[in-house]
Amino acid sequence: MHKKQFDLGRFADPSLLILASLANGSKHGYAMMEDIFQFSGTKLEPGTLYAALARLERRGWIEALEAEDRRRPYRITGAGEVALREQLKTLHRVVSIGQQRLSST
Amino acid sequence: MQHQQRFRGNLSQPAYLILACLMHGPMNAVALRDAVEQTEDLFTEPGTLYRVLAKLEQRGWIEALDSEESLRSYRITEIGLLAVRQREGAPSALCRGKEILMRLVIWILRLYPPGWRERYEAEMVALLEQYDVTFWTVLDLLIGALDARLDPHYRRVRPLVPLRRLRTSWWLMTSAWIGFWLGLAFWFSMWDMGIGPDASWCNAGGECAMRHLVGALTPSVISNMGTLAVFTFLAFVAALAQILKSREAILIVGNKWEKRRDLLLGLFVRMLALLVTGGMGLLCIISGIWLIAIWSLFPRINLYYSGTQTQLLLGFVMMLLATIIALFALMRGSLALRGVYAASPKQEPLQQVHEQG
Repeated sequence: MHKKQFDLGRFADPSLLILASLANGSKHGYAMMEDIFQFSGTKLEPGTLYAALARLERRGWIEALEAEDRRRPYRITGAGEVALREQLKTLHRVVSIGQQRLSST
Repeated sequence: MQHQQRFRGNLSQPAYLILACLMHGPMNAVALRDAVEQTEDLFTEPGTLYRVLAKLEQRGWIEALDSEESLRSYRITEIGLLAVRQREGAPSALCRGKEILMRLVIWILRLYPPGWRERYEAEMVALLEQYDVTFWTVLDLLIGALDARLDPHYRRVRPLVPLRRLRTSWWLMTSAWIGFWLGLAFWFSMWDMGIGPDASWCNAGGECAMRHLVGALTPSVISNMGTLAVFTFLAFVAALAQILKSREAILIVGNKWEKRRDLLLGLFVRMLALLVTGGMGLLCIISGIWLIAIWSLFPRINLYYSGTQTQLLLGFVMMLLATIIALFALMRGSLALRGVYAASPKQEPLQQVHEQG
């Protein structure tokens, strides 16, 4: 992965999942967790989720919207979409190389 | 009245009105009084409002926000919200077990820094109410609290009164001394069992040579009854100090002579603390060396005195921990003292010393 990528450290994975989850529309915390579990099988705990959310928000990759009834939805920003695209590109490369090498042996 | 009060103490009418007002958003004391008096003419005495606010803050139902203005704003906390809903008799959407779990969770959330909580607490609680909370969730929350605490983003310049810090440092240190003494006590029983350096039950060979080598270093100190006596005395002093020194560090109050005396006292205390902590560290080191040297002999010792190994290990670990805590308390106290000295008595002395996190 790129170096400058994420001094997100141990939150790199959750951040990717969150960005992917928000890519098709804004969601609040619980919906995000459900969605992530559904498409990736990862059970994200609330503590980790909010730590990742805080970091993403600080980078300007997601944005918090008006809270309704204590639940606050988040949406991905333009910068966040760019970052997500880049990450997915790298991952895609890894996936294809990996599959290529496995099938060739 | 009609409803069962599940919270400690009753939610009095003034308290309830304040909480209800705060549900709409944070307010300062003046705004609160105006808002409440529109409903009921309660706070005719100016002191009453502040008394109720203090009590609510103590219970953790409201929280003071940091603000630049001279008047502090308050916001309602999650526990406060629960109290209000309780009083209003709103049927709890959660079942009994979940409610208890939520109380635990809310208590854990209080470990997060205030900046974080102002921003995220409400939504976090809403999420957790829906979520199936497990042990791992709780653990994850705790780790998150540590992570948030370490985050420089949430550090703010707090008007921290160094006195409080000094006090807690002193408590920590004296507790560490007592703990150390306990750890040392485990070691002293060793000599009753006769495994000091002059024990005759080991046969000649490499092991005993090693022991004698180390024997020169260590147990002459540990086995010395004098050391035990000194540390017993110190532990006693520490315990006494904890009781008496509740109003310690009065420091820098008007009179110059008092200031000088208190500064000197502070200096003396610091030197004593340094000395003791140094001694603790030294003892830890040589105990550690001794332990390593005698490690191979333990199977044989255990034949004679079962449980020695655990006892010595436990004692050593306790001593180590106590030393670390004492060191930490020493550093913390030194920083606090520096803050206190730096504050000139001419300006606002102790109240507003700015400290980073």
